[in-house]
Amino acid sequence: MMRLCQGDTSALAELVRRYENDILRFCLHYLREVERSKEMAQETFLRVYVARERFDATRNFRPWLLRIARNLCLSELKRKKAVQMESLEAYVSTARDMSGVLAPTAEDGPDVQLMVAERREQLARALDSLDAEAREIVVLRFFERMSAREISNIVGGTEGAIRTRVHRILRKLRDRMGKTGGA
Amino acid sequence: MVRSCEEHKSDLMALLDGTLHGEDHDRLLKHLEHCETCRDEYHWLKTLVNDLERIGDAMVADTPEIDIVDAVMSALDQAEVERKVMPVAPRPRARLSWAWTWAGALAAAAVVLVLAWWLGGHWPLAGPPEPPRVREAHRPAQKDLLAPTTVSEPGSEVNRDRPDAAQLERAEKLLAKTKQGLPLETRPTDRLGMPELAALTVGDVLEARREVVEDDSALARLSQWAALSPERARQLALSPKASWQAIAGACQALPPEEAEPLLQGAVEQCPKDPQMRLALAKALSAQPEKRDAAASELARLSELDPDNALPDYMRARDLLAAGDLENALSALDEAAAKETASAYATMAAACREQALAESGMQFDTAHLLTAVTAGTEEYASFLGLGEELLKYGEQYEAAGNLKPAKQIYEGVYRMGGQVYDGAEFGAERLAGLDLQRAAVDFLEGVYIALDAGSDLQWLGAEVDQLTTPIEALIAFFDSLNNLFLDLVEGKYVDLIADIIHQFGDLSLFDHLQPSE
Repeated sequence: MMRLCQGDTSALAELVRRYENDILRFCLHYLREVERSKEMAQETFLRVYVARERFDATRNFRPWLLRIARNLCLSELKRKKAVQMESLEAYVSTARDMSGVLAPTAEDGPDVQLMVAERREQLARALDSLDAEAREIVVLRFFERMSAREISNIVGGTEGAIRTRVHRILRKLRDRMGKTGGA
Repeated sequence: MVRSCEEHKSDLMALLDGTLHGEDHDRLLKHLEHCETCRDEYHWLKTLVNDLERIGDAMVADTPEIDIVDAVMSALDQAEVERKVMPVAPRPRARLSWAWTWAGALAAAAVVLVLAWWLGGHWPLAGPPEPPRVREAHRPAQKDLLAPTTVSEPGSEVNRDRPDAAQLERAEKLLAKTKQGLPLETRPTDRLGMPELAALTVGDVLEARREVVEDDSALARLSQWAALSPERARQLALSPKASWQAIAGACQALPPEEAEPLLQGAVEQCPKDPQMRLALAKALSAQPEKRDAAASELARLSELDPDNALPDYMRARDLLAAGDLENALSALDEAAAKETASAYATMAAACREQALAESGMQFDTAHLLTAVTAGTEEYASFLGLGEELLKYGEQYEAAGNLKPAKQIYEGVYRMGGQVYDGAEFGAERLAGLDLQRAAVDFLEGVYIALDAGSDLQWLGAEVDQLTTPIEALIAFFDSLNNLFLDLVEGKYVDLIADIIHQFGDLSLFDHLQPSE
């Protein structure tokens, strides 16, 4: 990034190579479409170039990059329609269908498989009932495995406030799922 | 001390995160051995976190790999080519002091005339300043002083002592240029002819913005489109589906007593959003019986954004209204220690955009419309605050209490500089200059009355320094107008609107500056 700030455009190519897949995945969380996310990833790096002089060299580059990508995605979502993040229920289903990761394993008995499947369906519904801001926190914390500090650098707020929000969101999810799903 | 289950529960997340250590960690594990309720809670949380992380893992595993290096680099080359044909403005100077050393070289006669016109044509060009009483006779009404620097009608008070007609004409033309492209009209009350929100297109907005260059009435049209009617704002604010951002945007169109409870809700939901807090403080300040609550809100805003001097100026204004001079002057001192004064114009524009979009306007239209009108509300708001402060200063001056009057006027002058420095939009930067222009006239009188020769000398030097930012601002507005004149509907419009929304219109030319 220092090289880019000094006008070395080849440094941009290196940054793109290093972060392109991270940014694509990050954009996919918001946009769900690979092509649109790819466009946003490209746009993100162009914005990095345009705003390079605004980068504070004493700060980490990645959160700054993710913040630009986030702003672009939110703007794109609003442009498409004045709605926030899309259904996570569909997102969960897609992920499950595509990878099988969420399907119960063959080692589990039929009862357990049924219970796990049911619980995750409930979770998907509960996720969809969250507001956009809460869903974003879930995505960043549990899907992207970011720490509270990293999240606070992207969405704003303090580290402590993010921790409190995560806990509150989990409680809300649990309450909405109800304990009948069993665990 | 025995801890309750509730207290232990608050540590469960930390245990899951691996951030619970030492005694707390051991104590919680021991508690979990004996307490079935907490064990159940922990088990639930752990399962939930595990499920969520597995959803995330699935997502990561299924994300395709891309290679966009070539695409980015070729887009960059293309952007460089396009940028070189863009009109480019000299970057306005960030600080007035920069202008000092070479102000003499840069101060073109016409610009000096602009200043002379600003100052009522009698100082510094027209010889030594007159004593306060005479100055009073020449000073236009307060409203005029603080009104935007528009061209006055011939024969009006402001123009009485001008050097000569030809010079004046040149000065007026130059000054009028600073207004072009700025939708500085206050919110219109006549909403007849307002098209349906949903029917308005990007093309309509772009056309009106182009017309602004030649025809000032297009400004009113843009402002009218960008302002929700109170009825529509009310409808949106009461809709259960409205986002908090949209509600905050709608509140801009509602009277303070109506906006206040809605903004209370928005602030509760978004406690770290300084713009919403500022809006709430304004709504409270506008209701004299709620000035205490306003003071608390301003204090919270200062905690949230300690570098922003604006809450201190608002506090000073409210304290002066309550007759508490001592604390008002302390608030002005606190403001003086800060770098900038910001009204969070980009955030306010985002709220307006959301309000318009959720009221039925197409998003692209709302995006461009709020981009081209952003900063105008802030312009009016800064000037309103400056006007009130100057009025209180004038009351003290009239009562012969010159020292506090001087401190208040100096506060307004300083606020102008801080507004200028904190500006994201050209309109705000103009507000900074207008505030300084207004304060200079008041300061001149009080310095003379106090026989403060060195202060007068300082003031003269400050006025000299104003030439550079004025020139830069004129060039900026010219470039902005040219940019919109050349702009055709398409992807580039989105980019311009995006940059304005993210960084303010003043950043446009920073981004488009050629590398050579």
